[in-house]
Formats: sequence, structure tokens, C-alpha cells
Amino acid sequence: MRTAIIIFTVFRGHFKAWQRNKTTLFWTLAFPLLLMLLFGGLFSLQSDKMDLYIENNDIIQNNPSETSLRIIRLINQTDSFNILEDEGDIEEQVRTIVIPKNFELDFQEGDTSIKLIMDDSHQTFSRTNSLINGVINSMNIEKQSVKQPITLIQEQISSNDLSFIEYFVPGVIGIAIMSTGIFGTIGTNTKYRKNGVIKKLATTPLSKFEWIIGLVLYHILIGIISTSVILTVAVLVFSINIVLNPLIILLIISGALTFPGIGMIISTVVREEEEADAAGNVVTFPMLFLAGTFFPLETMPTFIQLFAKTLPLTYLNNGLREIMVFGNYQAALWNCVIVFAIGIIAIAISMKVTKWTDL
Amino acid sequence: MKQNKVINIEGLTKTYNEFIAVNEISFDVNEGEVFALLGPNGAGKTTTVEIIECLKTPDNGKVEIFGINLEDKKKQNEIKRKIGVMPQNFNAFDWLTVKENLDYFRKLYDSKISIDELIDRVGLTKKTDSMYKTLSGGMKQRVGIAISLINEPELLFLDEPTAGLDPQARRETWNLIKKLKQQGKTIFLTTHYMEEAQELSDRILIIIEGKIVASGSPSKLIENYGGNKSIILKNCDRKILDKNNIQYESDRESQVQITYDNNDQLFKILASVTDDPNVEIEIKKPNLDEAFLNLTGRRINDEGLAK
Ligand SMILES: Nc1ncnc2c1ncn2[C@@H]1O[C@H](COP(=O)(O)OP(=O)(O)O)[C@@H](O)[C@H]1O
Ligand SMILES: [Mg+2]
Repeated sequence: MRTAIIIFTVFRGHFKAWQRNKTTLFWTLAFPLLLMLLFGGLFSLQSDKMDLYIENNDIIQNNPSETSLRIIRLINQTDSFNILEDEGDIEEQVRTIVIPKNFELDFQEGDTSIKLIMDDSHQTFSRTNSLINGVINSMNIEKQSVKQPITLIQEQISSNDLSFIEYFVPGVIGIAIMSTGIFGTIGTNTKYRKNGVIKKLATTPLSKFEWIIGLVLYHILIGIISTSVILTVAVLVFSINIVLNPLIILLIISGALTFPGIGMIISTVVREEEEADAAGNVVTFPMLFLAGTFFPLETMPTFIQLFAKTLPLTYLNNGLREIMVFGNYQAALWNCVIVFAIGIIAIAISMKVTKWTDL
Repeated sequence: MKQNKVINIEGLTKTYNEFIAVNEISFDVNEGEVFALLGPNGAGKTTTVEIIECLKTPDNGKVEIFGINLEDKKKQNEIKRKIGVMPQNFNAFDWLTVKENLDYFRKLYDSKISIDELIDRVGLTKKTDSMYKTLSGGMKQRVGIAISLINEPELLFLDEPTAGLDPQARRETWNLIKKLKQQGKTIFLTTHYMEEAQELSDRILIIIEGKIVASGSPSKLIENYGGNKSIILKNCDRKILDKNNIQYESDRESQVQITYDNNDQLFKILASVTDDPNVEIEIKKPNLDEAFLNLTGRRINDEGLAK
């Protein structure tokens, strides 16, 4: 009970200081938001055209039929699609249009259909659907005799395709948890050791165990706060779909063990306050770019992929992405277990190396 | 009279790498006294108190505090609960107010003391809700003293409690320490200020380069090592002194210094110059500065450096 009160005291002390210090508020809240808005904004300005694969089965004497070419032309005139030739790998293609055999003939008869193969939960589905419907309607109008010569059928696939912002938002949360954890811990511990606060604390019954646990709890709370703020803004500004699940909290907890743990370890070797930021940069910089925050690692050379596998942020990012975007509990849980294990090890080491006597 | 020993140290030694910071020192601190460890920077004062406070581990020697031997690591928490410590260069949490800082430390000890009363005792009532980082140096030191009292300790360690303070703030802190002494607390003071040791302490231990040079009450140290009483005469006619057979030294053209042992000698000197209208008289009492100089051949300046 006494230990609980002491840990809570440490936790509350950190939290109050965080609330009152504009610098720490900036790094935990404003910085990730700016990052998200900046990159999210930049990438959404980029080419608005969506990839569209077309499988044209209406071939007459080795040539595509007139009508099928006309509908493709009309689709092209919407200026919304990059029309690509079907590569036969439907599962990998975000959106595919299938023009059936005998399309031209059946259209004359007034009874045919066009198939759109796409994940209806994809964020561009409704836009794609209405554009294609528009094209079909304009062709249907010519055929006054029949009410609806062409119908649009949708075939569901489950798609892994993400827009940049969907991919990026979990990474922003990962970066926020990592940088607050590492920079915040190195910063405060170096400061408190230099200015004598740690020495004063060591003269009291407070143990270093209680001090470190209080710090971890504080990082869990600000992790939850910054995640909530980032997600709220992401949903409001970019209207992305997020799966909310308790696993997100478990991932934040794991991150709040891992990164403050690493920060504590580093702060035992950092002597001066000015060195603190440099040391933090050395550790966070590779993770910033090589943990799959901005782009997927699959496109990277093998040795980078192997290196990425040693970075705790990789697993935190993957875990957050799996649960928030794909709703894939199993994959998320697996990543969470890895981060958690790294966190326990980091905290155990930091308890060992943190000095409470002979400072 | 048999006094209760609160601290008992024998043959204490501490080295950093090869460097001997504290070299086989032995001393006791008695209940209810103000005990001062006096010496220039680097003498080993902080090292010594921090060993007693369980912050540093000694290489050698016996340290007993409240009869508990420090080697018994499990008892260290018991010791920490009974002592109050203001470390050298004390600081509290910048982003918490005075009151919040005190509340923080009160919770660590599970103490029931009234914080408002404590703040009042150190004269910070007006600053109760001010952020620690906005306080002046003197106020910060007083917060430090308040925090060191939060667990109502019997024994208080103050390591250079007035270092870097202006004379006014130093006085205020001294008054506070005197009040604590009146309340019966045992106070272990560390300082490089002669005046501070002389003003506050019952007993002084002078250490230099990790070794004890002398110890005793301020008056005893001055009596034994302070040298002769002397009188300085400015602008006086030396012929009169010669005529009266008075021995003098002179290190400046305009003044002479005459040492004397008793009042009779003093009156004789004064009588010899009564007719000289230009003479200025200054009587120098031996003080701790003199005693320190005679003991060590050095003086300590305000920054704590020995010369
Ligand atoms: N952690 C340390 N590592 C190495 N040397 C130290 C350490 N702490 C103190 N010293 C050295 O030990 C000597 C005594 O220091 P200290 O006890 O702080 O003296 P004081 O408090 O009297 O100024 C000094 O020369 C100082 O440089
Ligand atoms: Mg010192």
C-alpha cells in the first residue's frame, strides 16, 4: 500500500510537470500532429488518380469490341483513374473492372453487366463505385428501349491496400510514443541527476524500483493521451476508419516499458544535459526511418529489412497498424508480445544500471 | 557528563579510483548539538556526510548512526526515515509549486506533518503556490530545509546550506538553523564559511585533504590557535611607542600592529597614544579565520578555495 502511494506520487509529479511545460507538451502532442498533417496533406495533394485494372473479355477476332473500348474510353474521361491492364492477380489489385464476354452483343440485347472487384470497406470504394456507375448510366441512357441494359455488380475481395494516411497514422503514434519515451526519460533523468533531485530522492525511502515504475505509468498515461489526440485529428481531418480495440492500450503499455527503459539505460551513460539530445538522436534516428513509419519495409533491401527486425519501433508500428487499420488481432497481439518482452528486458536492465548510491 | 552519541565514526576512508578523498577520520556527533565540518572545497566534507546519509559506500572504517552500523544494508531504510538531508546544491522539482514539492516528499515518508505550518516555519508562506523554479536561491535553500524536516527527523544534515547566498539570505538561513537547534534537533553542518561555523556550531571539525586538522568548540579553537590579541594603530607617531618601550610590527607605512596578552598591556598601549589626535585605533580579536590560518597556513575565500 505504501509502495502504491509512493509510485502514484512519482507518477503524478511527472504528469503535473508535463502539463505545465510547453516544451514537453509540444513534443508529445503538437509535434506528432504537425508531422501527420504535413505528410498526410502532402500525399493527399499528390495525383488523385486511382489505379484501375481492366480485364476485357469481349474480344472479337483478336480485337476488343467497339462497345468495350467505348466504355473504357468513358471511364478514362472521368479523369479519375490510371487505367492499367489486368495482371491476373485480382487479390493484389485494389480495383478491377471485368468486362464480360459478348458484352457488345448483350448490350445490344439490353442485358449485360460490368463487374467491379473491390473491397467495399476500402476508403475509396464509394467514390470508385459512383464514378463507374456514372459511366454505365451515361451508356444506358442511349439505349432508351431498355430500362437498364448494363448493371454494375460488385464482387468483394479483402484488400490490404492502404492509402498513405492510413499507413502513416499508426506510425505517427509509434513515433510519438518512442520519442517521448526516449527523449523525455533521458532529458528528465539527466537533468534531475545534474541538479541534485535524484540525490535528494535517494536520501528518502523512495527506491529506484518505485521511481522507475512511476515513470513507466506516467508514460502509459501520456501515450494514451497522445494516441487519442492523434486518432481524433486523423479521423476528423482525413476521415479514415480506425478499429478501436483494447490491444491498442496493451501496445501503448508495451511501448511505455520499452522506450523509457531504453532512455533510462542511456541516461546512465550521458553525463551532461547537452549530450542528452544527441544520445537520444543516435537511438531514435534509425528507428524513425527504418521501422516502417513512412513507407513499408518490403520495398527495402534485405539487410535493411533484417536491421529493421532488431528495432522495437518496427513491432510497435506493425502492431498498431495491424489492429487499427486491418483489425487483425492475431498479428497485432504477436507484435505486442514482442514489444512487451523487449520492454520487460529494457526495464530490468535499467533497474540494474540506474544508480541510487555513489552517484 | 555522558552525552548520547548520535553518530560514531572510526577510521573512515573513501577513495575515488586511486584518489583518497577521506583519509581515516574518526569523530562523534552528540545528541542536540550543532556539529560543523569545516574545510575548503575538496576537503572531503560532502563525501563524509554522504557516507553517513547512506548515499555513498565507504572503503573502510566503522560508521554508526543511532547505534546502527551502516554495513547492515537492510537497516539503511530505517536510518533514512530518521534523518533529514539537504544535499549540497540542493534542488527540488522545477515544475511543482513549493507546496506540491513538500507534499511529494511527505508522501514518500508517509508523514503526517502539516505542510502549511512547515512552510510558515521557513518563512515561505507567500510563496506557497509559486513554482519552485521561480524562487530565488535563498528561497530554494529554505524549501530544501523544509523538505529535510518533512519526516520530523531527529538528526539533520545541511551540506553548505548558504553557499552562494547573499549576506541577507545567509542571515535568514542562520536564524532558521538557530531556531531548529533550540527545538533540540541535532544538526550536522558542512561549510567552508568560517563565520558560519563560528556563528552556529557547538563543535567544529576542521578537515583538509581528507584528514582531520583540529576539532573543538569555536571558542576553544580560537583560544588555542587564534594567536595573540592585537591592536592596530593607524597614523601614529612611532617615536612615542619607542619611548614607551612598546614592541610593534609594521607591514604598512601608515600603521603598526601590536600584540598583547592582557588588558593591562592594552591600557598601557592606549595610554601612550592618548595625546596623539591623528591616531585611529582598531582592536583585533582573534577569530576562526586566524585559527584556521595558523592551523593550516591557508585562508579560504568566499568560493571555498584555500590559498
Ligand atoms: N564521484 C567522485 N569521483 C571522483 N572524485 C570525486 C567524486 N566526488 C568527489 N570527488 C573528489 O573528492 C574530493 C572531495 O570531494 P568532496 O567530498 O565533494 O569535498 P567537499 O565537499 O569538502 O568540497 C575532491 O577532490 C573531489 O574532486
Ligand atoms: Mg561539498
